[in-house]
Amino acid sequence: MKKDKEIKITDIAGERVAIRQGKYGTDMTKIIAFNPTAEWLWNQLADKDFSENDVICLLEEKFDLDSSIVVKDAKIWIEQCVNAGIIKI
Amino acid sequence: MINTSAFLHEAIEQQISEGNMVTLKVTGKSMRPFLSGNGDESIVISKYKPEELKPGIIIVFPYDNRIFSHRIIIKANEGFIAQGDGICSDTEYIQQENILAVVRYVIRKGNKKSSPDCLSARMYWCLWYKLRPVRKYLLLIYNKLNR
Repeated sequence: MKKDKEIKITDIAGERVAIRQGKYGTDMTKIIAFNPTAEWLWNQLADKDFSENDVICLLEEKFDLDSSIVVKDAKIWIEQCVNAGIIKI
Repeated sequence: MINTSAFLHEAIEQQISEGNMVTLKVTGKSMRPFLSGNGDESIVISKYKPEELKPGIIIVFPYDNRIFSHRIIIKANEGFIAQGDGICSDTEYIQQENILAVVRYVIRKGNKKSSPDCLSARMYWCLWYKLRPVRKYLLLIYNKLNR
């Protein structure tokens, strides 16, 4: 998987959101609000290819949580990002 | 949870004031037949110069807690009368200070981009405006064909 390079995390109307900056400017047809953990995860993944396991490892290093919860959270985060088109498989 | 309407309004204002173009999905049917509102179209909007505001131009403005993109049909006092192409009688009076942006492009299914200010679009609007007395019937036919 890879992050879409056109996606920027920015402050809009008091929310931290992931938004596409494409050739037609700021694309508000799809906006995702990011909480601090989602944003941290996004930033950690930089611009390189990553797997679901990489996301799980990052969450496990950062949070002292049961591994089943971490796996579930990682899957949900990836699924939401893929559905929103901000992560490409 | 984001209050979509308030968020959109503030977000558009912020982005436009920073000089950015903004792409929005068209959802309503009030601009039929120019915009079908079936979810396949987007509009690209941007900042305007006051002299650009004239009949035929599609403007973006907040109204009744929603964001509308309707066409200026008449200049009136300090503002403008706007109306959706798919509306037969109701109009909105919009003061210039409440106009957030103007529509620069329409992106239709298949990523086809067109300008609402190109010759064919302007001819369409001139004709559509003149057809106001029978618009109701034309819209009935259009809506039946495009359910």
